[in-house]
Amino acid sequence: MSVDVLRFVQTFGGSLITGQAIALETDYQRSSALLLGVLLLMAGEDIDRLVERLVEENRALRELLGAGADLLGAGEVATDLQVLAAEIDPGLRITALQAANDRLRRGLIRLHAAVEDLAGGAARAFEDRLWAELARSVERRRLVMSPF
Amino acid sequence: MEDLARRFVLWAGQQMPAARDLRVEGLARIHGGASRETWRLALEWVEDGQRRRRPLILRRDPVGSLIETDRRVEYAAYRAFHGSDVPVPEPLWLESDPQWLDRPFFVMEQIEGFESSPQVLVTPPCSDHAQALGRRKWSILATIASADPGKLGLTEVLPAVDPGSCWRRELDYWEGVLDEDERTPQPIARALIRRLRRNPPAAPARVAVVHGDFRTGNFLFDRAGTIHAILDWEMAHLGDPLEDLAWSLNPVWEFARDGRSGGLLLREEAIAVWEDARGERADRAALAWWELFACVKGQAIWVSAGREFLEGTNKDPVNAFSAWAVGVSQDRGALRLMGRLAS
Repeated sequence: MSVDVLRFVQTFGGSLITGQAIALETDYQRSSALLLGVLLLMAGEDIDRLVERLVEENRALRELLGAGADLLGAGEVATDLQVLAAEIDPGLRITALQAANDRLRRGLIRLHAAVEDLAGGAARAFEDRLWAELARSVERRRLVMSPF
Repeated sequence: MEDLARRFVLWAGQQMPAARDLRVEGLARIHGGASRETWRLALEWVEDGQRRRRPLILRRDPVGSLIETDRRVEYAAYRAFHGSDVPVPEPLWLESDPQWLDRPFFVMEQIEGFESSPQVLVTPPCSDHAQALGRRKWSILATIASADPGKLGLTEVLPAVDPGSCWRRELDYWEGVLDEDERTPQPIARALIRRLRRNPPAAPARVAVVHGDFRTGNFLFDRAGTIHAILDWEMAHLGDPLEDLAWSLNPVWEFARDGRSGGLLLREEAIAVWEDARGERADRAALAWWELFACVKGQAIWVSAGREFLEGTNKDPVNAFSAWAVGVSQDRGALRLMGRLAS
């Protein structure tokens, strides 16, 4: 029988929060255990969706970087963005997906800065697209346990 | 822990030559922020034939830190405001020699019997006094903003800055922290930095003492709605007083999750209290700049916490929580301020 990872982190996270996991003597130990429990519940929330989130976001970022490269036209930034936009996720390993996500988000920062320097309505409209994707990226990462 | 108590007694004996039979009771670590180890204890001794007891707080430099600041700044701020209208614990000793407790530390009076937890503040019976606590909180902040740094002796400790350079110095510093500590890209914080540089704020009329971390969670209160001490001055500096006001309004401190700043007052109510107490209107455009800056500063702090955790220099779970959960909330807060939040 394999261990259900979600069940594991939710069970032990809950145990730490309610103080059932281990007997602790000091307030500091108890509050640290509570926070560890919260972190385990957060991990459980994220484990369930992480691959889907990274695949979805990497796809969205590649589309955006490709469109951004077209908007910028020629130049080093546009060329680099086209290379990034043409990448394909190497599989479903979280480490590989996360590394790709980091590369793409660095590209997004370069694209955003370049678009801000462009004049005209098309550039402003594209900025709105960039901010909309940034808003979606935050919503994808939002946790039940987040402060707000 | 016994070793720490024993070594503290040895050190205290050097500071109090008239004291005999010193001992430490009730030594316990408490959550006082991940930036400095905080310990609660009572020092007991015999002096002039009488047994004496004093509850103390020991703040020791950590191995790894959220915020790399000089403990001298925090100690000097406590010393400057002790006995003033800004309630703070009495600072007692500053020790920079690591031979005693492995790392530098300072010792201050322990103000017993009060709370600092935001979770306690936003639940009954404390939440019944949110208005009173909020009025007092932002009145105290106005008092700090109106204090004369020179008369307080703080210009000898805190680096000088001219009014027109306040914003640039702070933005340069926190951008540098992001450059050094980020382990994954921060596209929202980077966009904010570019925007802030393109649209600098008006300079303040005069440079003020800035607490640097004035927020719910960093003051002691009772369950009847009174604030007894402002804590955690480790990021104190000279600068624009709107920096503190904006930081206090940072959306990540909305602990009651109902839009009230610091879980106490609506944003405009808090600003009005600050303005009334200060006798001066806050420049709304400049305040908006500092509110976005607060999102950059916040993200830089959460990113630093994440680096400490990932590199194992400080494995306190609060570092992981800050980097992960608060970091996401900080980005949401920035988007909301810019009118870019999808929901």
